[in-house]
Amino acid sequence: MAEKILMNKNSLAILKIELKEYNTALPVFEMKEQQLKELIQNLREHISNLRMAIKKINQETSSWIAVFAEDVEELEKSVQIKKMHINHKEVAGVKIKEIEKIMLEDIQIDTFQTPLWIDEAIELIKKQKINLAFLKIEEENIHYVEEELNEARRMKNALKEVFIPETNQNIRKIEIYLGDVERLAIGCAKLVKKKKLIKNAQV
Amino acid sequence: MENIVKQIIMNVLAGNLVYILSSLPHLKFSNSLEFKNVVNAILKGYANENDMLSLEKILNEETAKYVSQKESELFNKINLKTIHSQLFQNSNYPLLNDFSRFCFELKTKLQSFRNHKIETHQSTKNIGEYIDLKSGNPLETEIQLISLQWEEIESLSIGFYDDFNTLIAYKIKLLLLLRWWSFDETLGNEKYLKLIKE
Repeated sequence: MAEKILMNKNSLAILKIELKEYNTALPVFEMKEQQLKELIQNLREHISNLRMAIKKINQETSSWIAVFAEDVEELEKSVQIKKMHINHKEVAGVKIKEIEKIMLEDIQIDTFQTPLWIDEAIELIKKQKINLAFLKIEEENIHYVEEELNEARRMKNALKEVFIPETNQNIRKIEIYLGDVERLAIGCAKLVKKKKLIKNAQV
Repeated sequence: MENIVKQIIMNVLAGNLVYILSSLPHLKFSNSLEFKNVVNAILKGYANENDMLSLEKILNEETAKYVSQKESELFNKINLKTIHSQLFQNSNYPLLNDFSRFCFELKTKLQSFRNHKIETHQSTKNIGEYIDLKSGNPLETEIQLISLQWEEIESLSIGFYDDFNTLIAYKIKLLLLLRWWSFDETLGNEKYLKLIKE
């Protein structure tokens, strides 16, 4: 329901200030939308590359995946992620995570006792774990950025489609009303003046 | 007198070994499903229906009935992970000694290759420079390594027919086959996915 507006000069002044603020805010949201769109595109590209890398390694492994069925205790221990350093940075008002460093367990494998396939398996699992860690972070990032983009879009559309046109219309209404009032006052004043002149002439 | 008794006991035991050796399934270097089922069925036939024993354990238990306790203990200890150890290299059984030494040499060569790869952070050398193997993916290489050991035990078995050495050769062959058969694609995939997602 449209808010009832007061048809006076004060309201007009307030509305004009609001309109100025809306017009200042609109390009900010438009710019934010643009930046977030670019960020999402970059994130999507990175996610797509990571998914392709994961798929490629999985495909390469599929021909010899059967060896993983053999129980080798050392394998599980030597492919654990020891520590992950994550930085937070702000892009267009959104806090996104960035992996700075991934530290994996550095366990010396007994190259005499363990089977030969372990060497290749360790390298491969480490690569895959790093890819998956990056993928997880990027998917979280894209989720937050998309939420922020939707919010920025909502704000931009609200300003562009609702607030600015409505305020413009209200300003126009008040200006017409005040113009009418002013013209009426002038008309009245002229009438009074005319009546005064007639009265003076009769006297 | 004591020696004669010992000889008689040995003869009796040897006779029993002929019995057990002839009743065990014939082993060949194959991983066909049909062959696996045959070996599985015959060996499982020795175990109680309710026992969920591995083929290796069934063989150990069956062998224990026909050999001395000392031999049985040694037989139970035989496994591919420790086959290269001094215990087997210095045993009283020539076949076991030779195979143990062969495995020690094989593992030493593999270790040199692997250490070189780790030190240089790349495979500048081919495995073929260390061991007579064709290059292939890790599964193919493992099967080639098992095959190498199989050929060695086959050649070492020549001349042994009905003694404890033959039983040892049989167990080693069974262990080699069991390792090969353990390379299962479905289970491997499950374990691989678990490893990368943990």
